[in-house]
Amino acid sequence: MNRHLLLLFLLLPIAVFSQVPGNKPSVPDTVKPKKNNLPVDTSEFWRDSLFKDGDPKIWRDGEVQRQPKPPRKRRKFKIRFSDRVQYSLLGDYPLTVASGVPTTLVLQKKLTAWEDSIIPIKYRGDTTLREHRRSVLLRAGRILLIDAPIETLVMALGQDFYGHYGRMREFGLEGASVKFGAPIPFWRPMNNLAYDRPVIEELGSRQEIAMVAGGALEYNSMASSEISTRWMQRKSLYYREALHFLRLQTAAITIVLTATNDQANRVSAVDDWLFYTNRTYGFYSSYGYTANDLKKDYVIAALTNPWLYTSMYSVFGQFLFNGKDSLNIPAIKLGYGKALMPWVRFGFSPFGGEWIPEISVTKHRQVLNIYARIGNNAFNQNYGGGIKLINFRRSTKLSLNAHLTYWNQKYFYRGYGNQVTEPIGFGGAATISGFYKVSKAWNHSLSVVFTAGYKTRGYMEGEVWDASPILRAGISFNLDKDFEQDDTVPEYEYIPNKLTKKERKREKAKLAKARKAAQKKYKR
Amino acid sequence: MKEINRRLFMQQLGLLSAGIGAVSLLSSCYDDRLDPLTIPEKPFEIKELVIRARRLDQNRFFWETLLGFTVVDSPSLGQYTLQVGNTLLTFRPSNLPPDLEATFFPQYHFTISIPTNQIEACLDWILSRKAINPDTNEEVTIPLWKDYLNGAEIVRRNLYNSQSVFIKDPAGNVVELLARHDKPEIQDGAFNKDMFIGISEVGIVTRDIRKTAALLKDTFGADEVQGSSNSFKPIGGATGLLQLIVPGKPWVPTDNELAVSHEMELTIRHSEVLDPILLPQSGVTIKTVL
Repeated sequence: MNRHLLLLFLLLPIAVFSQVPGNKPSVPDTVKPKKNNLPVDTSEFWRDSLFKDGDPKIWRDGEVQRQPKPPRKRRKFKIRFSDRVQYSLLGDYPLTVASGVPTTLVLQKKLTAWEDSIIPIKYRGDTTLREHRRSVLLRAGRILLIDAPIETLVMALGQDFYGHYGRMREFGLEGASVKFGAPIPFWRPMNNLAYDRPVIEELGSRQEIAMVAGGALEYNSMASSEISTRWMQRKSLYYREALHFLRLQTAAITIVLTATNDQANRVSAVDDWLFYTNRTYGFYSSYGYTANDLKKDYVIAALTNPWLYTSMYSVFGQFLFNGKDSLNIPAIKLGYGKALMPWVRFGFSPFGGEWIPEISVTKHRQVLNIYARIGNNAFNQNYGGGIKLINFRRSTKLSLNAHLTYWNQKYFYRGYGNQVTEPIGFGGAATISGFYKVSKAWNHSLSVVFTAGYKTRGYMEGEVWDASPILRAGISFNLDKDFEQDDTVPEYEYIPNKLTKKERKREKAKLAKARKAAQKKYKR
Repeated sequence: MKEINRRLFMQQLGLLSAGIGAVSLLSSCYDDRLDPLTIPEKPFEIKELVIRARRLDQNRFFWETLLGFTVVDSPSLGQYTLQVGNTLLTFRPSNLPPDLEATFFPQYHFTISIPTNQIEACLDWILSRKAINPDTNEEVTIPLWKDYLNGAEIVRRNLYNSQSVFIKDPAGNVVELLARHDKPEIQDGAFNKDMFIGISEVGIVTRDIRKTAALLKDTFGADEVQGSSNSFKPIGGATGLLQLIVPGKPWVPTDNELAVSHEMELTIRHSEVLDPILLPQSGVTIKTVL
């Protein structure tokens, strides 16, 4: 008996405690559960329980009442820290265009923010017609006298310091200098590259000098692509970004449209690019790929780019006349939070021009960018492509991007007197980049930015030509206006129930049947 | 169970087709040979090239007046020898009947080397050369053979790491002015006729490339360029190369000037003087000098 009691004494607590949760809380009482960790939103649970039974209710008097269906709900996308567009100050050697594009865009954003804080975009309240007219004049004056010159200066910095001089630093060339002009008129670039031909041709191959000459347009193309990708990520654009995009486009279109086949009197960097790419491939007294060919290709690429019209509408339609500083992008909607946008760019490679069609798909601030690089075969065949994943790792502190690219190119030529031919063939690059939040102490949270990867020998926009590791580091800020609206609590979005025609018919029949049955029952 | 097998089969089929696709995509990327060919060390030292030509008077005007080469010997009517760099180039009258000569004229391909760094300057010099032909009273310039693929004037041959300008003489020869970058020979200053180094490559049209190559290897100890094809086989070194080519193959950089064998004499420096060697099925005789 004692033995049974002992067994009962031992087994009972085991049986009880194994079935019933322990009375001790899993977390100490002193620690309050965080709002985020609540497994169930109880208020919503009780509210939703009211709508559980969707069948029609029949009252004693035969009246039929259909209870309303609960609205469908879905979890709203929560914007995390990593989903914000980052403004990065990046550094690498030899200060390539790839590091220069985000850096100059930080400068542009900061100058814009200062200007916005000093000069209003509306005259008084902009409530009356008179005030509205004055507001339009104010904004027009702002664009002409301050905004456009600022965009021109930022563009000139990117084109020269990172574009032309980046390639010169890479190849160790000397003998080129930049001449600056006035930032007005706005459709022309304010800077121009001039060569000391005997010096630079002694040091570099024709192909290397072509890359130096194409550096500015390489910057333009990359900066346009970067701005477009940011728009896709955010699904909205700020008018100053649109203005910068327009400025990049107008400068490139103007300089391309003024290109000539006159070898003796070359004026612009595009003239030099044409001259040296043609020289590389043996076109001496006349061009194989002429200025007219380039104009045709570039204008097709520029005018088929939907971002050109979007930015024009943003600046002149929305900002100038309506005073709205942001605009939702007109991307093709694919579903909740998903959108798609295709566009084409024209690249200035040392192998001649290349078409870069891009398709960008965004899903809740994650962007997938797929692009191809198709040489226009003016000199030889080259092609490639790549995939960019922006913000594929989302979190409250860390964001990661990936870029995979490949190419098939022919030869690169170094030197001239002692020429070295470097076959390229099939090559590629893989990079991981991202940012990690280290401090919120500043006005805008501070992150550490990095890019790490490797590329094989070959031409890749903005990167050095040689096979080398790709290493970049810097700091980044959240300079976007919507940063403070960051939400940390999951929200639900309620979508009103819209019955289809078939469902409505079925519902009507159901109600009629119930009513008939009820009438029969109460008659009896 | 059957279903699972079918699914597995479909998966494997999908993987296999994806693999085949990937392999074919990758192999298509490697279609072109990009690495330069290995050129042997030992060159032929070409001393004299004797060829036949039509329109000898116009040809002499072209080579002597336009290009500026000195006529060192003119032993018989129509025949003349020019000093081209460190080599001699002799033109003899064509021995073909006039009616045949219009279509089947003797046409050769040979190369004159120039300094590596002077290719653009050489083209500039070529384009600037003009003279009035006293017979016709017309201004004559030097016509170029452009690359038939894209019309380039300076033809780059990456497998041989060289750049060339091709000129056309009145006899219809494909004359290549070659800057070879493997062993750069740099000369500063403006380009002039004294910068022509000499004849370094000669095209030999033969039906039996293998036998000709074996004969040249055995006699002169020369090697063929590794990686060359059976229809075009260069033999020798960078500064002296005999290009064996089958008849009917177009001369670079044209697509319609087809190689045809014609009579040719070639004098080569060798360690011993041999009896003249007649290369099989080519009409080419090789003489040797010390």
